[in-house]
Order: sequence, then C-alpha cells, then structure tokens
Amino acid sequence: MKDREKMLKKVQIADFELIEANLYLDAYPYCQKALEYFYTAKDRADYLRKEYEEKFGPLTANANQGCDWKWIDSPWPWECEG
Amino acid sequence: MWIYDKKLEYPVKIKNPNAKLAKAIITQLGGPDGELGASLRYLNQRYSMPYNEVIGILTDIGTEELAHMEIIAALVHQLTRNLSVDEIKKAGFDAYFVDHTTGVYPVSAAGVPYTAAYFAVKGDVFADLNEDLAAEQKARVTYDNILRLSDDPDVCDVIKFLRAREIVHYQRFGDALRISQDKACDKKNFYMYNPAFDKAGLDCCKDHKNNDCGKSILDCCRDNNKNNGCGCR
Repeated sequence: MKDREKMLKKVQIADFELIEANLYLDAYPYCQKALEYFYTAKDRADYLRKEYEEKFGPLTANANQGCDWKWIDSPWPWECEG
Repeated sequence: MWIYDKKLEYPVKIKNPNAKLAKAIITQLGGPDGELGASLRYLNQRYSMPYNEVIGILTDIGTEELAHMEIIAALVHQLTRNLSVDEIKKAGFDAYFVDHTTGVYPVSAAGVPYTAAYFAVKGDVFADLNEDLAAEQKARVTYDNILRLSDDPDVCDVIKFLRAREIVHYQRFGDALRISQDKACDKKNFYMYNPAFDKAGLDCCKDHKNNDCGKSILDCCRDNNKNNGCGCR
C-alpha cells in the first residue's frame, strides 16, 4: 500500500469512529460516556486529517492552502488503482 | 447544506474487472432498496418530524447513505474499467453499455431506471419510521444476495461493510421509534394524533391532564383541531 493510501486509511478509520459516535449520540444525547468518546475521536481525527492534508493536499475545498488550487488534483476517491 | 469530503467512507480497490457483478451491484445505486432511495427517503422525511433526536438520526443516516451511494458507484466504476467489447458482450453488459457506455447511471439489476416511487414520505412519525426500519432490512438482504453472487474478495470486503451499516442504521431507527413512542402524550395510544399535523394535539393533551373536560382525550383533541378550543382549554 502506498504511503498516501496508508495515511488516508487512518483518516477514514478516525472519521468512521466519529460517524458511529454521532449516530449513537443522536439517539442518546445525554450519554456522557459517548460524548467523551466523541471528543477523543474528534481530536484524533483532526490531527490525522491535518497530517494528511499537509502532505497530500486538501480533503475539502476549504482546506486548500498555498498558491496552487490543489483541490482538483487526482486521484478522486473512486479512482483508486486495484 | 453539505460539504464534500474527498475520500470514500470505506476504501474501494478492485483488481479484476467483472461486468456481470457490476450489473448486480448497481441495484444498490438505482434499485428499489438502493442507497439513492435510502438517502432521499430519510432526508425528505425530516421536515415533518416532531422530535429533535429523530430529525438528527434522519439527517445523519441520510447523509451517510450519500457516502454509500458513492461507494457503490466506485465499485461499479472499477468493475467496468478496461473492458473489451467482447468481455462486455460475454458478461451480458451490452444492454447497459449501449445506453450508458461505462458511465454510472442509477438503474436496478434488471435495468429499470431509478424512480422516487421506491420510497415514501407519509408525513407521520410512526408510518415513516416503520418504513425506514423495513428499508434497512431490505437493503441488508440485498447485500446478503450480492455476497452469494460474488466470489471476488475485494468486492465482498466492501459489501460486508455496507451490510453491517444497514444493521447499525436499523438499530438507530429502532431507537428513534422508541423515543417517539415515549414522547407521545398517551403511551397506550400513541396514534391518538399526528404531532406533525395536529398542532393543537400537544397543548390539548397537557391541558386535558390539568383540567379534565369529561371527554376522552381523543375527542377533546379533535374538537380542539376543529373549533380551536373545547371545554378544557
């Protein structure tokens, strides 16, 4: 697996934890344990996203930085080589 | 509004093209229990929901279904990459090919284009949540059937992820249904009024408890809707 894919997978895993905690909290908004889990997962996801974006470009258009518009650079998510 | 995140929710990396399998999998894009219908069902049902927990669940599951739609599209795209015309004919993909080449278009496995008739918005919390529970189960069965048809481990890995998500969504919709029943005024008859439509219902219910007018709660609520006030208000 390429370096980019490895780092992206870390972001995907961290973001998935957020998706799960988010859905759970929708149904159990007063669950303090779930809320703590969400905040811990959010810190990890933010850190990994920043690390990825610094190396491989923005994951959202708003995260584009510097003098190039890197947002439209390949690969797009469905283009992964098998 | 929505913001695009330039990644899939779960990675899709297919080594071997397989148009025959793509023809089955595309049903989860444009078929009766597919991800496009799922997303539109939940996002459109939100507006008549009376409870914040339920609105949150519909918003976030509806959003996740958009990500699943993209995963299915990526599977179809990668399974139909680099095909020769002979391979397309042999796989029975020629009928799709003649209309859409290898573009991704939402159709069912039988080639029927997507239609909004695949989902319902009834505007009633219990009717809509029961539809959502059924929809998650039907999508789970479709993924089970795709797993029976597929012998490609790269494909099965992704389908298993999507299948597991249907089960989690089913659990959250179960929570939503229980929350809605708990919030209903009369726990023995939560069909008493539709909180999305019978605006007087909630207030009437509270008043009725404090100041009993002698009528049944149901009659009292109906009178309130009709006459803008009965004896107990």
